[in-house]
Amino acid sequence: MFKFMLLGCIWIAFYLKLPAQEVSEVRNKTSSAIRAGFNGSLIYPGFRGGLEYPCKRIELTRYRGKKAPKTRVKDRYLTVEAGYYHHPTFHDNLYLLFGYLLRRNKSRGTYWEFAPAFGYSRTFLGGETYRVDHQTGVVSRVRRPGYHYAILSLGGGPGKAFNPRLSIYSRLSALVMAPSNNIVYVRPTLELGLILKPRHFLINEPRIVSRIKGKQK
Amino acid sequence: MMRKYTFWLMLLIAISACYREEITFSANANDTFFVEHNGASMRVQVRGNTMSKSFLIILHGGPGAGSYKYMTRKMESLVHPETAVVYFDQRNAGGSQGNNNVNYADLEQYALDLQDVIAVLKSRYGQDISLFLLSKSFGGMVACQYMTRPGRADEAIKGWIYANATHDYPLNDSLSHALMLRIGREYISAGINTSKWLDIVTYCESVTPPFSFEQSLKLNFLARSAQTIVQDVEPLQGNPLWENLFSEHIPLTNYYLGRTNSLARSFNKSLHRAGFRAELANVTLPVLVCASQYDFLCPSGLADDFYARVSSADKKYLMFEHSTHNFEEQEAYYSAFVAFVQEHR
Repeated sequence: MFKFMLLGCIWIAFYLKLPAQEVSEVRNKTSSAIRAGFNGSLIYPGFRGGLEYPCKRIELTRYRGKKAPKTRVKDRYLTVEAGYYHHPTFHDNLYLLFGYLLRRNKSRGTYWEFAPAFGYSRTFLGGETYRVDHQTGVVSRVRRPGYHYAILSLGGGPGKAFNPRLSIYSRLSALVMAPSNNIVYVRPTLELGLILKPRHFLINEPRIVSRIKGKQK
Repeated sequence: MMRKYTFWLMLLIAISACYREEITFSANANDTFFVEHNGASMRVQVRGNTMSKSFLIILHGGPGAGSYKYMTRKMESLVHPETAVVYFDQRNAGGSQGNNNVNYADLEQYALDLQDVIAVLKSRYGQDISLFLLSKSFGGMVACQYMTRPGRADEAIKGWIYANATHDYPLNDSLSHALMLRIGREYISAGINTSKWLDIVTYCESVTPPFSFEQSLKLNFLARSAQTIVQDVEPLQGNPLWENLFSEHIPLTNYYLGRTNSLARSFNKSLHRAGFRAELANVTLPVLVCASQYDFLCPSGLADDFYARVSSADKKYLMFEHSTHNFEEQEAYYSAFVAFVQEHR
């Protein structure tokens, strides 16, 4: 457990060193964000972190008769994440994910997000592994035993932004690895973490799409 | 800067992924290792008294179930102190892992996997160890495939426990069918669980041997139902899946992977006509045959046939009157296993 806390601390400490001034709003331009979280599966600890690169913003304005129009903002990000978990006597898994994050902003800084992603996974078996040479009968130890899998992550959950630079999030995901024992291996994970948006970090100008529903009276 | 941190992060992860070889000789060993063979890494957990130099290898059922469910508290208290128990998860079952190994889904591959596990056990714990096979259900087919092929005899194998197992699928289906009809009719005439037994008996009356694969699956399904409604059976004590859920790290994964074995159907279909009745004459080592009165999945008739056909001079037959397929009379079963191991190691 200490090992994973240490890993998390190194990761977070590195990024907290980034300048802490307020972001001066550049018109339509926005920084990418860094996401880092504890990613556990039942009692098995893990870590997941990566980048969110803004690519699209949807501003949805809805006119509701004589009432004031209601505007909803949805953000879309391209994401790249690395993850790891440790399941004793079964395997350790190191994985890299590329995804598309859909975030719907709600009132008071809260938001919901859905984050499908796919990528590559490499497991390391949770024990010494042996192979038998059938010609000689010699038993030898296998170095770095484990398997390569295609991995799909489907998950989502709520989050809350405290300010434009910092927010917390939680996410319930299913990691689906294939081909595992000729079929897929599904592993549920629960993730809790922080999203930091440093100043001038991989700035992009996301495409803004405005949509209007209803009629203005 | 970023590269530096990334390097250290990757290094830490790589170090955590390396394992030292841990071979424990104690009265309460708990070693886990894997045996890699033809696309699968089979999980093997050795528990119990490794100093005894005797190892009881569990060949679990399925195909696709795991070995973990055998690690009950009774097994821990009665068997582990006397002998080491090898909880071997066959390929695509329990805690075993791998990619696509569908090309290796045949009984001979399962036997070769067992051969590798035996080689690794001898390599780890010494060439002088005594090995015993405990085959249950489908594990009986694996054991037969291993034990009846010429040139496979391993002098380290000192005995074979055939407990609620099968060695011939067509015979198994016929015996299940006959047992469900006989017991079902008795219960119906006694007015006990009539509607449930009627479903079973009605289906059994509608089919006759030889059974098609679909009929065989249906009979297997009904046999599982019959086990839950039959009376005069000792209740099954303890469920290791829940008792050791957090302490052992593997039970839930083991159970889940056992339930999702994609090969079960196609592999079972290939085994539909498989049997070893003729080859059992090649078996000469000591055997202990255990059968249950109410085992609808592998009826006691199979044990009778096995007992009659093996050529072993040293063979023993035990009937358990208050059990189904699941070793409900744990104390009696495990005491018999221990006595057999102690006598022949």
